[in-house]
Amino acid sequence: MYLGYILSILSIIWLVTVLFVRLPRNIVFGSFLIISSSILGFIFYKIGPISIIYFLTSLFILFCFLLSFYSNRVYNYLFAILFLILTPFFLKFKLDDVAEIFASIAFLFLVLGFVKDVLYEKFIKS
Amino acid sequence: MKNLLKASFFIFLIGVLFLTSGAKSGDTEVFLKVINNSGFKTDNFTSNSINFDSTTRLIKTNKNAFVETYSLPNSFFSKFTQELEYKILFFVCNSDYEEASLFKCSNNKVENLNPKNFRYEQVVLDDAKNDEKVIISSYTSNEGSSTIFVIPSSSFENNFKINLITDYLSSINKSSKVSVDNPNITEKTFSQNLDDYLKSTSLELFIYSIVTIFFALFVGKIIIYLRNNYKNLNFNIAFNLLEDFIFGSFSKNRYLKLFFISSITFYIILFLQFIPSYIGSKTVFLKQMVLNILEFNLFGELSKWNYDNVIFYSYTYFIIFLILVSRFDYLVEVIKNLFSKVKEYSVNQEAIKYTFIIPNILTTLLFISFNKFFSFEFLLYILLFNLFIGILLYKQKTDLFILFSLREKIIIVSSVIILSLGVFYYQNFSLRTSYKFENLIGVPDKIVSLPYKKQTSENVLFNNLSEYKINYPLFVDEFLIYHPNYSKYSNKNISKFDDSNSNYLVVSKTYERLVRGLLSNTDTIKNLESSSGQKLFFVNLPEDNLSQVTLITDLNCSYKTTNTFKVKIYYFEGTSFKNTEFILGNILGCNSESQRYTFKLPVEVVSQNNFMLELLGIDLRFVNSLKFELEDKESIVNFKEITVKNNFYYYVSSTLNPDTEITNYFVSDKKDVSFDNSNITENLNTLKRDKFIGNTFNIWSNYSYRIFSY
Repeated sequence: MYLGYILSILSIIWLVTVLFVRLPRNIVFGSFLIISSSILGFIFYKIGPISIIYFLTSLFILFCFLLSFYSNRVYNYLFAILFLILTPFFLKFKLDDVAEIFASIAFLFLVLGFVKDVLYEKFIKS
Repeated sequence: MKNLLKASFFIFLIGVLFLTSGAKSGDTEVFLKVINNSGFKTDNFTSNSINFDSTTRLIKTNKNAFVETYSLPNSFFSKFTQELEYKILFFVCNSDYEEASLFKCSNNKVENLNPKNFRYEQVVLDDAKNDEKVIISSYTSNEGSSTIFVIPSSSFENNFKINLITDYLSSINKSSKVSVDNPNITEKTFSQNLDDYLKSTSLELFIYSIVTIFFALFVGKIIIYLRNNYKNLNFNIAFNLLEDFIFGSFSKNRYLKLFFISSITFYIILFLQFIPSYIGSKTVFLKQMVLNILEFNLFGELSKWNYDNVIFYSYTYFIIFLILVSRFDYLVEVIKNLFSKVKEYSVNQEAIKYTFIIPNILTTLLFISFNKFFSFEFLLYILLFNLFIGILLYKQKTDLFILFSLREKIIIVSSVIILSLGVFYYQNFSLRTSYKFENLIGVPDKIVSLPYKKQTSENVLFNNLSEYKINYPLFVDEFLIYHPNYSKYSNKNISKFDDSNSNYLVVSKTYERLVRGLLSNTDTIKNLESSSGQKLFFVNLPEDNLSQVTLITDLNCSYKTTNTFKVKIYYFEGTSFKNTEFILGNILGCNSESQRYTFKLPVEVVSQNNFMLELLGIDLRFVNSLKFELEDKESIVNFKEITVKNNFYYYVSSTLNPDTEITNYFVSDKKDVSFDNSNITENLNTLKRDKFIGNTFNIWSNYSYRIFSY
């Protein structure tokens, strides 16, 4: 608990310093990495070894998100349609669990396609 | 050679179709498959079965027993309950059979014969969607140590019924593993954390990502080609795309292709050999198959000589590995492509600072401070995203000092400080506790039987239960929260026994503690009911410090076994509770119909005015009479039989009469609590909110394996 407070205070101090004092870029980035890894360490300490599984899972999810974000927008919608088409087939064969996964993925691809349409050009300059 | 490859590829496809069409379900040994699908561990049916005679077979599992039979030897059930010491027995009735004074059954019905030593209950499993019903009769021995489920074989006649039984047996299997103890765990163990992970959003998103990546690796090329060149599609291109879809990067080498074809064909043959002749439900089977693959323990299986399993699952792993290798090139290509895009494209700093940097900084700080309701999963995602944005900004040589104007800097810092202080205050000084509501049944199972162990967290209460009608008493740890025949429930410590209410129960986690509670407050004993079951005798001597008390017992001579007759005596010496076990002598059988045995009780124990006596080494069903005699042979010794029952907890009950209120006495240092209504969820939430129970608790009933949720 106290470790959380200490980390919060450290993060605030870091934020104030980098915003109000002009520091070399390497120091800002280095301290940012130290603060981030301390928070990661805090999570590992709090949750125990299972956090490694969470960490790897999150990393993979982030990778997939970026993959979809950086790929051509058409593929998001194409994948959404494909997964949507496959869903009733699984339902027909009583594989409800698989159908649910496919339906959720179809929905997620629609959302990703929409997010990309709205945000991509605002954020990414090629 | 190319034509040969194409031909072999087509033969492979035809072979797959042919072999798959041959997979059909049979109905032999359906029951054994149901047991297996219910999760009862049966390593190998044939090597673990005991043949009683030519028609009876008992199949052992860890602690449970199963029987499939056409005719049973006499006294089979006494064998089951006395000698085999199994807890659960499933009896499938294939033809007309009668078990004396227990039940009569045929292949489609069970007739109850109202046994004295067993409590009869009928479980009705109803599949309203498919208009199917299964009736299972259950007999629980009065002391609660064993339960027999009688199922007519017609209950296995179609898949709907089989699924119903499988769900019920699966719930019994889980309930039978619930332990009485609820260790007060402040920190979760790795396995509990793993359970949480299996229910987390992270795993769900991970599954979606894995499925998508695999899907993309398999059909990605086809989609890209069809999108760009669909007008140029011809047979050769279609064939190449199909080849690429099946073989992946192996399609470039004909030897690898041949190896891949032969490996997969061999796997399909092996799979069809391994697949059970009966598949109750494809989903159950697939789920079970995936679980088996994940839980496969090579060395464990080898030590049990299960070569079938070793070959099949090792080969499954090999095939998975082969498929992964065939797609590995594509995966590397995709990763390279992503990195080159991340490198190539730069981010618009103005846009990103308002939509990502500021909210992310605020949220991260909020979550670190707010560690009482610490959602580390969310924090992990923000942190990783922050790291990604941080790397991008560093690569673009962005300076945070220049990126934000002075006004923005002041707004960011002041909001961070205000938020952190607010959270700190709320966490440490706020008196109001906010509760999170969740479902009491946290498992996806269709049927949940009692006892059910619930593991939850601090400040969690429960949503209302489903519509399932509960018609039996319901306890949470030592507290009675519902009884179908009463509307008010008082839970009190046994030291506050009040004989104004004659309807009461005494409940305890351990046998010894229950005896201690009863003996410390002997007023509780006078109204206790006595039926067959595990017996205790409360003996009340007319005066202290007697020199001799004799126990006289008449035994039924149908009891043939020679045995050592022992007694265990529980008593108070001053304020300390003690128990001693004595060997009284040997029972050597008898000559006439009934035989009288006389034993002297030890002097040091009978010097106490009150004591509890337990007979050991003899089945009480064979005791015709029992009495105590003093030295003068004239004074009468009062004693009372008490039946202690054990269905998860140990309990005794008074003779229950119709009334509005029932009292439940517990033998522990818990606080008293009363409920004036029959709302199960409300009463449970009161216990949880006011900390009568911890974060882990057991829900149970004195009726074994009753359905709690369906």
